[in-house]
Amino acid sequence: MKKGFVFSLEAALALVVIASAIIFLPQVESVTLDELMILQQENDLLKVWSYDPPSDIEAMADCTTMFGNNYSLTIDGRELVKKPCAKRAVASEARIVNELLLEQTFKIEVCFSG
Amino acid sequence: MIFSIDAMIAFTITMLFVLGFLFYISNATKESVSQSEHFYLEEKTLLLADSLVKNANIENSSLGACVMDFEKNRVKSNYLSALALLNFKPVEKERFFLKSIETAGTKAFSSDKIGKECIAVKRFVLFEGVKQTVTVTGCIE
Repeated sequence: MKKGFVFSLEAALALVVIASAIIFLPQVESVTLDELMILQQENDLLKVWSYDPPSDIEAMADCTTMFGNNYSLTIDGRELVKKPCAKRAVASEARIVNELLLEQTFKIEVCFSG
Repeated sequence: MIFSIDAMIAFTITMLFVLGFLFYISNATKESVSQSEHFYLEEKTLLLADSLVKNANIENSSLGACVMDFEKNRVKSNYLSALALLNFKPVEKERFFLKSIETAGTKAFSSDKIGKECIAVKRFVLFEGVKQTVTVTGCIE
């Protein structure tokens, strides 16, 4: 029979207590306003588009200016840009009526790692 | 008084554990303070940038640079006025101050003060009918 470590009941209990104390130490939670900032930027785009409804290419260019390649864009149900998000996403949708009284639905979804 | 090696080792281990715990708490507190400072800066910069693109302020355009629609008696949010460029003034609150406002890569306002930590917030606007980005940079002293 091989020799090994032998723990007494007291030693095992002491290890359990120390391990639980380490596990349950208070963690500092990171709080940021990234989500709000993205939401405001999405609303900026929708607001500007309500003054001057864009073509598909213009809408994609505006989104790229604000979010790089980190967004999905849907206009009237057509997915122009699709970016699957690994973690979380913030989405905004608006219906805009243009000068010809035609309704268009814009949906922007931006990924973020918050 | 009875003194044993076992008791001394147990006491030393306990003291080391307490020291480690205090060290952890100290670091956690420092991190928490640093995060609250960053949150304060982020909050003020975000709110200032939002005010800039949502309001109209005749006295200080840094607090609102939008065009007023007098027909409808309301502010045209995200529609910036060229006149506003001439009227940007400093904004300070406690340790926070406005460092700069950039429109399409041109600095419309800049402060000489040096900040300890700064962040920039980019917003999308119509500037006299042209689509542009406005970048608001806020700092804490």
